[in-house]
Amino acid sequence: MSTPSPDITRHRTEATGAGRRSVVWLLTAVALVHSVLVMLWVMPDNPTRQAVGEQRLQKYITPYFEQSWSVFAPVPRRGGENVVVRAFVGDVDKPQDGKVSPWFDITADEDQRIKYLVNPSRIHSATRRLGGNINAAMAKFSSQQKLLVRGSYVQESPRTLVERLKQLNRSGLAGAANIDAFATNQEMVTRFLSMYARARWGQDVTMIQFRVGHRTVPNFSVRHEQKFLDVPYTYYVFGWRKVIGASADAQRAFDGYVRRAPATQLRPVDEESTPQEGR
Amino acid sequence: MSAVDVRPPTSDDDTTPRPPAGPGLGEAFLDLVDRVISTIERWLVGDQHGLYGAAFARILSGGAVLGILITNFRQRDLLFGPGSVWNKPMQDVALYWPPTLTQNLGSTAFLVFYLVTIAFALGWTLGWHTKITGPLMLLGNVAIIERIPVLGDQGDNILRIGIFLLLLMNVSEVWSLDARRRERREHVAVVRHASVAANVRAVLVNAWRSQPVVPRWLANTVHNLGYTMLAFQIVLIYFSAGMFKTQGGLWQHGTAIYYPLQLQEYKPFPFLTDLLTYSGVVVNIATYLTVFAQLIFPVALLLHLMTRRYGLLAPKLFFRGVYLVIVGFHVSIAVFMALPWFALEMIAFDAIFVSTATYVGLQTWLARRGEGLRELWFDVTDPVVIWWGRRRGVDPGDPSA
Repeated sequence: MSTPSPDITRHRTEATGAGRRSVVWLLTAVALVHSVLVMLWVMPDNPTRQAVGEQRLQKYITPYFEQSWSVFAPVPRRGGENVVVRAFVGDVDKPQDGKVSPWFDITADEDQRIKYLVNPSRIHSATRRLGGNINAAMAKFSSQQKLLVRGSYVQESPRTLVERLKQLNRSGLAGAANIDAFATNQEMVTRFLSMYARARWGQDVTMIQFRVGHRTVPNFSVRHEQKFLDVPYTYYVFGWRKVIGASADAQRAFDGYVRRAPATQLRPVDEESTPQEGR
Repeated sequence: MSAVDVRPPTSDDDTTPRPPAGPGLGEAFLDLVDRVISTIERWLVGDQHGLYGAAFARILSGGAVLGILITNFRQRDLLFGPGSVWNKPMQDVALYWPPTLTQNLGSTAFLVFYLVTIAFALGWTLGWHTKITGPLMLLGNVAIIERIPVLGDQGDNILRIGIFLLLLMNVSEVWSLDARRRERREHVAVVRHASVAANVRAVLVNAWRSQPVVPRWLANTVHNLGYTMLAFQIVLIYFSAGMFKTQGGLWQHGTAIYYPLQLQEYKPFPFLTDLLTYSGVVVNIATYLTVFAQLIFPVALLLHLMTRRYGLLAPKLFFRGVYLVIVGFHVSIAVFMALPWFALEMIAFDAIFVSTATYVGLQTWLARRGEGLRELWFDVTDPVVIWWGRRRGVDPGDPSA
């Protein structure tokens, strides 16, 4: 007995009738339009894409067909970020009476956790992404704006910082968008570090301070002499921020993940660690 | 006798039979258009194509969803559940609606949601009621993953788009529990003069039994369009990725892959990476091969599709070579860069480019090689199945038959 060809299935049928054919061609047209729009979206910028219009394309593509394949291109990723945090335990109105923790490099801790791990959890990239986003925004700030973010915002809301950054904006709409991006990422990193610090140094943490580092992979030609891990980080240091509280469920999630630091780590504040409001 | 007609014969007078005059250029063009339209219609409506590839894509894409959910299971609350509140500014302006399903869930309710999504993913992978488990898995996955857009990547995008297109296709024709059920349970006829309730019931029963519920011509068309759209989507990914790379100086210099491989998050096995990047020539070849394979993939595919009916060996081997480079590239990404689920997603959707004949050949080969293993499996499971059948008062016969 001969084996039927695998290319012929039980679904074999004939195309008949004008009505059915119309439906077939209508569906084909929909598929074609979809495919052309996706093609225009994913290709590098070109006149056809400009003719269709960025906004029109975006309206169709985002969010469900959102995609970008300029992965590691044209410039491959060669920057590493880290986030380092320390915490203040005590009354925010009497900072000189409180205690402060040593600086803790969260990203370095993550590096240890993902070593030899072929399927790491996404949480291990949290500080890298947040740090990368903060650094990208900071790079576009003027010197005056960079000075502003070094100040502490504890009694004043972080919104005050955003307003002041906007007053110093000299880059028009692009500058305003960058400040908004900074504000979003600053809030996210503050929320993340608030829960992280409370999980590490206890529920009495009332303020956190962080710095975000960046270092670049040395050139390929000197790969045998200069190792990436030996390159020191360059930091943006941020002032103290009041912790942002979260629900018990949310804090429990961090408590289950973060390694608790010994209580002896906390030391009385000194001149260097005293919060300097808004400066 | 009349005078002899000395006029030269005209066409009107000529009674000698002649072959009909050839069609004009316009008519020939219309004939060609008609033939092209008929060929496209026949291909779209006539049968379902690439069913084995679609089934394999289902299995691997389900594996990727399971992989992502299981890998992040321990940190689920921190990433997607109540602890994800650190991502609030982005959650407040989220573009997707599915994450709103999980935004107010406490940790216990979220655990249930998470486990149910894993169960749907398992169902999809095994081919269990794929028309139900597939959409629900996709919905659950987006509801979970998109709670934390700041940690998302292109893998999430291709997984969402690829599975959406697979949902248009018949992914359970083979290698699925649906196929097994379809063989065992009969199709219930929908009768024109029967009551509406009876026919609705028949449709639902057929749907549950994985029997056809929509007309064949429509099911075929939707399947084949989904297949074509997914194929085009994958081709676009490779081609555009290649185009972006050609714009970069480090890709042109042939050293681009060195840089991301030095970053800690993409260096799970430092010794392996250092070994790979030690030699400049190896880095150079790997970088160029990546760009070349991505750019050439659509050309190799098109050439293969256009020439395969003539049985030409060179285009076939060329396509297979490029395909293997692409798959090898994904396996390398999985191991060297600790991105196994992204790699699996891409391999899953690449699976649709493998011909049915190759899959059938592979299946036959595996069946032959695995005969002993199969016998051993049934030796172990048959007593259990028989015991269970007797408990229920059913004679299971020979369960392995």
